[in-house]
Amino acid sequence: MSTRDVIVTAAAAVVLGIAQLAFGPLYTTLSGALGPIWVMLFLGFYYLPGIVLGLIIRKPGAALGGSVAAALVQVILGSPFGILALAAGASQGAGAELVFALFRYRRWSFPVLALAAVGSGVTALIYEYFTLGYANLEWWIPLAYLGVRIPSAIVLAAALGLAIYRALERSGAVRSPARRGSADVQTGGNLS
Amino acid sequence: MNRKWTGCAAFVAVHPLLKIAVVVVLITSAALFLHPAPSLAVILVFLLHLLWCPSLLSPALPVIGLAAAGFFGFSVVNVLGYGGAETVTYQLGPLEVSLEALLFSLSIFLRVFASVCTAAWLTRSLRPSHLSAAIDGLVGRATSTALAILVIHRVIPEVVRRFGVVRSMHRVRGGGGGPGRIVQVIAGILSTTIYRAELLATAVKSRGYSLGMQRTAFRPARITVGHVAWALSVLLVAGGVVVAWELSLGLDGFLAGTAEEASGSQVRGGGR
Repeated sequence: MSTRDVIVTAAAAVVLGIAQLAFGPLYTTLSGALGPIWVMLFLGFYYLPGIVLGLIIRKPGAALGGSVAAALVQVILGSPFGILALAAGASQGAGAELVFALFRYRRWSFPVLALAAVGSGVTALIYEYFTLGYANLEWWIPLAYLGVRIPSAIVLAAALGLAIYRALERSGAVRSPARRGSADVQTGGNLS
Repeated sequence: MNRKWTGCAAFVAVHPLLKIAVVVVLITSAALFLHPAPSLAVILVFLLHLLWCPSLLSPALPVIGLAAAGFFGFSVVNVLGYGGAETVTYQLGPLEVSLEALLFSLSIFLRVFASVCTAAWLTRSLRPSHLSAAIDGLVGRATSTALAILVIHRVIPEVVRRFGVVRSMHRVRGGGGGPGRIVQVIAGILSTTIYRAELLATAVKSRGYSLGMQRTAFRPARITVGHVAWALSVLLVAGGVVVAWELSLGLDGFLAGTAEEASGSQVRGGGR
């Protein structure tokens, strides 16, 4: 990533990190009301930075770096999850990054974003399996965790991320692919 | 320059990273441990810090006091909660609540409160120039990481302020609730933040800085033997307090507590 990409990724991650921090108390409350499995219907919001920043920057490292940066913002501002949020952010970003890499950072349709969001959920579950002692649970519980977080990832990460990106396009903050292509031609290459 | 000022100036070079380390230890201990030793260790570190260079932290003293009180309260409440009060229950309207549940709720509140206070102290008392000097000296070649951390540190106060402004604007315009409003608010703040970040990137590049190249005016932080000795002594004191506390409870209790904690943290740590 170029200097501009790093700065834009870090700055945008601050916004998403603060939004996630504000979401934290709601998630904790819902956790008490819904229990440990059904609360994961809301877990997809934590996968949002990887999807949105991957979509905005569209370069290797943006999803992973953005997700870690958003987690760092939460740690700095006092996340109740503490330093563990950083590792969780890395695991979530890694899943999205992997899916974007599989498509060589060229396809950004909704199915690809949904797959990336589900990828975030899968890698996050793998991380949680080893760190939160899921191995000690009944075999069906981790599967239930996965099953519940898939629709959440599709709606709260992929669909919401795409909606945010389209709103950004309308505001002119990010360039649509068509405009980006013509601008690249006019400036003779990479805008960054 | 007299000796005290030399000491203060030297401490500034290490001090931002030391602060971050202290906050990381604080927040992690609040999240993971259920006994007061880490909190006491951190309070002691604060005191040592103040003795070393009082002028640096004097504006942040009330926040530090709140954070320390929060942590101490959190620890005491936890010790009380796990000290055999589980069987006491209260009738709260239609609900029957155990004293342990009430204490646990209070401990969560104190934990969050203390985390926010320490983080506020970190954000308010760190200066980007100190941070950049320390990161440049220690991170070395990983300039993109250092750049990202600096940008995050610089942008956080602006974004927090902007959240309030955009929320007020949406309220004035009568924006509806639900998912549409979330998209509007986040996209609104993201668009202004990206615009500002692009301006910042242009300014940074116009000064000749880019990844892979050192800055035009590069002054690495010098880490002396004194800094290392200070960091080690703080670590030793903090570790000594933890060990002394645990040993005062008896070695059997220490080992049993460790085993119980290891198994308990796995069950307790659900969610994210």
